Parts: sequence; C-alpha cells; structure tokens
Amino acid sequence: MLILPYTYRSLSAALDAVDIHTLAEAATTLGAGISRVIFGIIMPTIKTGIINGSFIAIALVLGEFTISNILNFKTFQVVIAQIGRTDGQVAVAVSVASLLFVLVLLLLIPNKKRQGAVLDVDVA
Amino acid sequence: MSSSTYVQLVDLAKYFGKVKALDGLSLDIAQGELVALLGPSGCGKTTALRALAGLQELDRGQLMVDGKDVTFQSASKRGMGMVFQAYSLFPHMTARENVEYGLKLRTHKISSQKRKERSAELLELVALSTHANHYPYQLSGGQQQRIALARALAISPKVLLLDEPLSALDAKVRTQLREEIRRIQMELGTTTLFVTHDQEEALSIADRVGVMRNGQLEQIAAPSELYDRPKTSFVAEFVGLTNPISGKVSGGSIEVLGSVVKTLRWINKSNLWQGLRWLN
Repeated sequence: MLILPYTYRSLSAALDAVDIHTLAEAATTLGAGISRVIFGIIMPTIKTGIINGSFIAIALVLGEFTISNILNFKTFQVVIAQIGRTDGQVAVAVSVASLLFVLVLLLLIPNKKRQGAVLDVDVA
Repeated sequence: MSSSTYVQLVDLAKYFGKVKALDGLSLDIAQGELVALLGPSGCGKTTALRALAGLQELDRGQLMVDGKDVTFQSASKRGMGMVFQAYSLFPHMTARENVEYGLKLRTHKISSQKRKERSAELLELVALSTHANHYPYQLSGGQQQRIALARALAISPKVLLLDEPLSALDAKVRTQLREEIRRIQMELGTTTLFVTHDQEEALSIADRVGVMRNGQLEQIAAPSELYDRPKTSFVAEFVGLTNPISGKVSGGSIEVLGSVVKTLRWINKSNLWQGLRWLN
C-alpha cells in the first residue's frame, strides 16, 4: 500500500507524456478492440513508466521494516530481524544477499537507460 | 443529392449540457468527393467528424455509408481512415509498422509479404519510402502527418476523415502537404471529409465547402460559389477578407454610409453578394 503513490506518480507521468487518448482513438479507427488498444498500444507506449514504477516499488519494499513490524506482518525484513535474534550469522548473510540484489538492480537500471540514450544519439 | 450519394449524415444532434455541438446537421457526400467543413472553433465540425468515425456518440440522427446504416456500429468496425491533428503515431513502432498496423488487425489472412508490399506502396505514395524504419520521434511534424495519412489509407477506408491535419504544422509545410493530400485523394478517389478552421485550406482543396455555425450547416457549396455568393452574412464574413458594411440596395445603386454609390451591374436578390463584390 505504501508504494502506491510512487508507482501511481510514475505511471501517470508516463501517461501524461504522450497523448494517449488520441493514440487509443487512432488504434480504434484502425480496427483495434479494447484489449488490443490496452496491451498493444498503451502498455508498450508507457513501458518505461511501468519499469520505473516497478523499480521504485522494489526499492521501497526491500527497505520497508517499521510498519510491517508494528502491524505484525511477516515480510522479508521482519523475518530477518527475527532470525537475527536467534542466529546472527544467517541474518547477516541474508541481509548481505538482499543488499547485493539491490546492487544488481542498481547496475541494471542505468544500463537500460544508457541503451536508450545511445539510441537517441543514433537518431540525431 | 443524386444516386451518387455515398455518405449521408442525417439530422445529427449532440448536446454537451447546454452547448449544442451538433444541432440538426445534415450532409450528403458523393463518392470520391472531398468535402471540407469550415467554421469557427466550437461550431461542431470536429464533433460531426468524430461522430462519423464512431468516436462520438450522438443524441439523435443517422449515419449512412454506402447504403448501410452505421449509426450504432463500433468505431473499430466502421472502416474509416482517420488522421488526427497531431501526434497520433504509435511511438513504439516504426513508420512502416505504423502503416501496417491496420492491415494486421483487419485481414489476418493476408500474408506478411502482401502487407509489406502494401505498406511500401503507401510509403511511396506519401514519398517517405526512405524513412520506413524511422520511429515517429525521428520524423518531423510534416513527415509524421504523412505517415499518419498513409496509415489511414492503408486499410482502404470507405471514408477518409481528416481532423485539422495541418493545423499543427508551420505555414510552408502546411501548403505543401495540403496539395499532397488533394493529389493523393484524387489519385485514390477516396471519399473524404476534411475539417478545418482555415478557410484558405478549405477553399483551395475541397470540391465543396460547408460552413458551420452553432452545430448547423450554414451553407454548403463549391468554393467559388461560396466565395462569390454567400447566402448569409455569417458566411460572407467568415469566408474571404471582408469588412461588412451595411447598406440599402435599390436596383443599380446602393446607399452606403449616407452616400449613394452606383454599381457596375443591376443588383437583385440573387446576385446581391456578388454585386457587392463588384463595388471593389
């Protein structure tokens, strides 16, 4: 729930960047049904927005501890903390693993962006 | 209109609250004809076009295309080719993919080879064969609109609908593209409805021009007739560069601003407006 505003913002920005209404109408006049308009036109158009939103979501989820703990949800972080009480080594290992995972994500994102940038340069 | 009537708009009405976007609009378009709807913003011309495309529901009226009632047919099944004001190309597809999109949806049995031929043919028609693999953001505004035109024509539409396709372009490209639209339209013989607020555009390429006001057709006629013989003062003021001066006409003279001026020819009701132009 906490991440909804972030993903919403990211998606809404992506939708605002293009005239999605006109695109949908253009596809309709060309014979596309509603599902084709959504999956064939709208989704690919705002793909970057969806990916960005997902990354933000993942980052936030991995960092979220306080509220889950208070509300007694057993999320990843809460479990790590619980394990930490009995077996410190495992907890540290899992924490490091999750850090590495985020690091990998971090390396992936700029790569994606850079590919896009190179494409832009080709254009000009 | 005679038996050659291909598209028929009958008594269309659409109200947005108190605003009358369409208020009993009737219009016949012959096969292969290019009709332009001209009018100030908010006169309902775009609403009429969107209604014909199936993108706008109507409160009243009937739409006939090729003898069939399409009033309640969904937009995706109507087979209309539409070109929008701007930025309507699918950004994640190349120019060629954009042109092929309608073909892909429409005729599943058509081979990809045939589809390629057709899209190549259309790209040729709009003189953009060299840009087939470009993405929309790599194209200029005029090129984008030409691709949009090719995309609309690819499906061999029953009617081509142009919704101010030139208004987002700069002046030079506008005139050039307008001639090109007319050339292509004549070449293919596609029945076309063209909506614009630019009278020069309408008068220069249309077979007939309809002037709209408050959701109704004020007058529809060939450009020269519309220009020379406007039926109402609204049309007269909207078309051409005129300064309206009220006067009193009596036969061979006209009383304007307190002085009597002789006209070149005898003026009666039928040639009134023409007669007034003779004053110049």
